[in-house]
Amino acid sequence: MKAYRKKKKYLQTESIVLKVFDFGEADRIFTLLTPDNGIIRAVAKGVRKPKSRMGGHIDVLSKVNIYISLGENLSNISQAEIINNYSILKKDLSLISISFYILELCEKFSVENDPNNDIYYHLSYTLDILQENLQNPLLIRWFEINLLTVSGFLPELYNCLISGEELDEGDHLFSSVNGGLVDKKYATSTDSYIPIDKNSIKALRYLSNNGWPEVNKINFGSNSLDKLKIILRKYIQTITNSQINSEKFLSRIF
Amino acid sequence: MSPLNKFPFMPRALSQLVESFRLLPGIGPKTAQKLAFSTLKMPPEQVNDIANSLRNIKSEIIYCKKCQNISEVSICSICTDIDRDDSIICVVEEVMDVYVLEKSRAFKGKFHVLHGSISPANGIGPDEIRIKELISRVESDSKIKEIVIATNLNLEGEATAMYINQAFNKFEKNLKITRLARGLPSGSDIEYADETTILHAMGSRVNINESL
Repeated sequence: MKAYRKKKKYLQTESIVLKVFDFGEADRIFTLLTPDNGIIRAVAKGVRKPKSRMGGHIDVLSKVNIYISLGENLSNISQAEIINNYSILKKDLSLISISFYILELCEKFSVENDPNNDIYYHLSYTLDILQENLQNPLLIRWFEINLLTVSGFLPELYNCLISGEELDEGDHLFSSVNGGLVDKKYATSTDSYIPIDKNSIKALRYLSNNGWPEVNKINFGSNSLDKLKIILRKYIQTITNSQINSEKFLSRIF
Repeated sequence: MSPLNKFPFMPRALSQLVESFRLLPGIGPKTAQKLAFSTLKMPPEQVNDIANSLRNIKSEIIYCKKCQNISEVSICSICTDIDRDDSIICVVEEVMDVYVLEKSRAFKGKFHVLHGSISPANGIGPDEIRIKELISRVESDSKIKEIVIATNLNLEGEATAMYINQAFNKFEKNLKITRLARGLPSGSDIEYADETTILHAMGSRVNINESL
């Protein structure tokens, strides 16, 4: 006798569309980030046809309410309705490039069928802010450091990774391999470090400890922000063990 | 488990053909087997014709130097057609889009095929598609007065359109850049239309006398 499948067959959830690629003749496979089910990859049949009822509702960078019939290999999207189309973001090439970058980061830090609603709500909140605070590089840095926090990859910012001692208020080194700050006197030649000045360390700590309303009031200076950009990108590349594809386009546009 | 293992007595030539068909998009193991067995039943002349067509597609098809469309000669038949309007270029993502527009007979200008759209998440930036060729074509041809951007109406297509628009806005030349209208498809019910489509359809509404 066939064992009774207790698995849930249908799922209704809100989600943000991270990625899409064409599949078959008129279908598309969507990568969706959900609050309770992590990443879901599902196919929308016939969505590329002009008369598809779903076509206008589901695209990259949209928050949608979806109805999915779960399959063993590939799930099917049976219905989709827009919650937020982020139309302000879609009208500006710089904002599109930032959005592509943060969506790709969320995809890299999320796991299929593994709920991490912190990543979902962090992304949703950041997209809302991005619509109001147009083209602010500080927002990208704040997003990156908080994405690391909610994913459990926040680098050590207060104690030396080698000695364990509390770091003094000075310039130090950042180790992307070990994930945190290292006191200059304990640094070994085998590890590659990035020098980081005390202002950039302060900025990194402030960004990781505060919400956007507080962070937005502070002027960190372009030098510190540029330093954070180098450090965070190197660290993210090390963690994900891959290149962030959208980064090249973002640097070109923004 | 590979589908070939289900048929351990399948001759090698046939199993190789099944594997070859599986390389094509949208062809699964079952369909590949059906196609392979159909090929087996065909008369030898027909099979030879198919084999020749497959060989020729790689040896005889090249890209047009002007519009990047596929062609058998260095400048394609659309680019050399003197009855077509030289002053207007329609920019499309794929070769298939040229055929769809040609079938509609709605456009009498010339084309430019990008061979893709900007898709940063998949590592496709402006350098990976044929935007540079479009820019140098417009720069060198003084007859071109209008660029119609007919990329797909999704985020990647929009990003490509915006990028092209930005690139041409830097030009000193007075170019008209237009985008295909977007709205409700013919034969559809308003009841099922999404908000974005309604918004665009309403925004680009036209005088009823002009539309008929």
